[in-house]
Amino acid sequence: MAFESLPGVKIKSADEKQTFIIADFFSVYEKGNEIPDIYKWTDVISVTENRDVFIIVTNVKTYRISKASVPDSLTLLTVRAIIEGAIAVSPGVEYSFGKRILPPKTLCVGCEIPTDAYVATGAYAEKEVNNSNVVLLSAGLDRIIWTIFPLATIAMFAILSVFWGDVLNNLIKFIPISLFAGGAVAMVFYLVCAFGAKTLYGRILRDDPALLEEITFVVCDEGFIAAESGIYDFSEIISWNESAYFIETNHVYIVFKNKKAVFWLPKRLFPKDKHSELSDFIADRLQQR
Amino acid sequence: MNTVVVSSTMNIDGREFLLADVSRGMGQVGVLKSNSAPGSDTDVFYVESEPVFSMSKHNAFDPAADKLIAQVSGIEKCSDYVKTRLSVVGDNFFLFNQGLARSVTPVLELLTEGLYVVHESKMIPSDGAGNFFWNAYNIRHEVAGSADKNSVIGDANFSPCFLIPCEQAASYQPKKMSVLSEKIEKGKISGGVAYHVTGMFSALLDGHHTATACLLNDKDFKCLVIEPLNDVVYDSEENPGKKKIIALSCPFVKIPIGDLPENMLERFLVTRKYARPATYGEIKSKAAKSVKTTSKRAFPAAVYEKAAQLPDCAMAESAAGVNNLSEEQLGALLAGEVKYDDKIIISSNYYSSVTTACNYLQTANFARFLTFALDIMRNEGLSAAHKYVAERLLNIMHPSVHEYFASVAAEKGETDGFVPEIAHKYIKRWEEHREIKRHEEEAEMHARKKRHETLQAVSETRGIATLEAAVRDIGNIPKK
Repeated sequence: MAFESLPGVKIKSADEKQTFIIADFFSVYEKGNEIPDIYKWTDVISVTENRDVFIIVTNVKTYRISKASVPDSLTLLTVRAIIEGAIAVSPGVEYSFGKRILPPKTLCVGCEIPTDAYVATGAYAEKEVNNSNVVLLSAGLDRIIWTIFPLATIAMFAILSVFWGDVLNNLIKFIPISLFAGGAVAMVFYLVCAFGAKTLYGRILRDDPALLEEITFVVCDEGFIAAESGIYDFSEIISWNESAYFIETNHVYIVFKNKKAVFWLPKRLFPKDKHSELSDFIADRLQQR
Repeated sequence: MNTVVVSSTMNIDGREFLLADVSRGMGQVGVLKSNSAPGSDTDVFYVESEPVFSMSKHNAFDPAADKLIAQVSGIEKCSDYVKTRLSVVGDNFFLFNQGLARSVTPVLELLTEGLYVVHESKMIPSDGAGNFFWNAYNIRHEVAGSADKNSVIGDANFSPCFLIPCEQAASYQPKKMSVLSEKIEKGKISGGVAYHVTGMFSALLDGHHTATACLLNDKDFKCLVIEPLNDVVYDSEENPGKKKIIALSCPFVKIPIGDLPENMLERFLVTRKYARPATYGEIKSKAAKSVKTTSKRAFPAAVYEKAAQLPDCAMAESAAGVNNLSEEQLGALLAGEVKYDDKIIISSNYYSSVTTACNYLQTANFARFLTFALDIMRNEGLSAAHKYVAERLLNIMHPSVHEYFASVAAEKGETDGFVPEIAHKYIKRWEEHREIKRHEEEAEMHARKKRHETLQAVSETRGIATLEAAVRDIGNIPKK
């Protein structure tokens, strides 16, 4: 289990009808009942974390822990880390969560960090998150844009043919107009997506308080991790086996698992003369794309 | 902030124990996680900043997997503050009758926050495989009976009776043995303090020399055993899909949730199993750098011989897992049945039933064990169990076993199957055993003769009339 030394957390619901204890077990005191319902994490069927609430479904009941009833963000992150650490060793538990930049701690395993690891601390900057996301988006949209462009061109050509008629005589006008329209549609599509990507930081911020916390970044022989400094004690890592490839942008290194970014490592946290060394270190362990 | 220990004596199903709630504990004694590589699962038992021994598993996700245990350091390197706290407990409880709660509090204060069960138990100074405990863990190896879950014991209560030393073998002092042997003779022997770490094993915090002396003098070695309360039990009668947790548990006892004070229950639920002590970094670096030390100081040969005769892990787990076996049930097993009166006696597997019955009887009723084991060996229809039972009998130097193996050896050659092979091996061991006994008797005779001569010399030189008076004169027996 990862994050097994974090202290257990007790949370009282806003209406004070329930008290939850999240630790090695998940326990719930119902108001007026001195004996709590205690569950092993393996008895939990699913955990869903959305913007406002943790929904924990056990083999007996479903519980909702409102995030508003958690006193501060560090406690909230502790709750999340304990749950994710427990889920990591209870593979039967279904887990879903909102948008995040930090890797889920369900991927973490216990491991002592060696002394020669690359370690840095700092918060993610809005600019580097958004810019990198645009780069990611551009790479991901390549095929879609090259599909939209001919389809929109053909569609425009068809529309012109239906409404204008006399295709053979107007071919010289229809072709450039259709090409221009196809390009315009593809461009608009790209701009809409890019605008969406530019606001990624803001959207994640609404879901994930970790983005405002100081983060500890570790890259070493055993693996990598980015975790909130307030709860991370250098005893957990995500093994390189959990990742497929990485890309390098102007601002960050991004490691992927199943085509999803799981680890964003800001370059600015390391001295410039270390960048090429760090690139080589990661490239020795993962394919670069 | 000061450590607070709140304790109360409880009795559940005839098992008396102390339930202690430690808050703001010093964290000087406990178990921490120390994973050197991703996916490995290593626990380290530490005292102060010393990583005393490590326990790791090949398969981190299998609770029934035995652990690899290796001694790393020793408690003798700790500060006097900790050593003194540990050493006073045994004397206070066993010699000065200060009561369990009062005696054990100095050690409880050294632990991490949480609930603990403390009880007095007879311990077995071996590694559960017939090896003397004090130098059994110098080399990292898999130790039978160290798994968190034991399929033979199941949910039954048991005392984690096998020992892992906290002092390194190099700290053994032969001179202490004669003093302790005298104390044992006078009935003034103290006991030890142990902390349950895994499966059937407890770390011996204090009482290494006492344990050795007890073994040499064929006396029971008693300990105050501290068990962290960190597991739970389900209600076995509920629908399997909706099972509810109804009790907290440690090997010694299961405490129904309703029997616990509210604040203690909350402490149990909030406290995490693996706390991180202030000395974590130091312990980790010492564990990484540790160099194996081997002791040149040898233990007496008798220690090894006596340890080999102690109940082993299979016996202890069978004794814990089987409540009772009636003559009728044993008869059914001998008839090749696994059921008696339409109920499964031990297990639906015949081999497992016979081996468990043998192990149980060996600890519960030795005479019955001999009859049962020899009956199995003489029944050709139960040949599936012959090898296991024969190996069990191999270490038992008893005339009836010798008689059986001698008849087998006389009938068949050493290469005629595994039972004749074991029989021949037994005959050799029997001769060696007789030889050792003969030597021991001769040595004792020699010692007696020498003592007699000394006494005679004393009586002659001091003009004392009788030998008894001479003995009194040199202070060997108290004057009436």
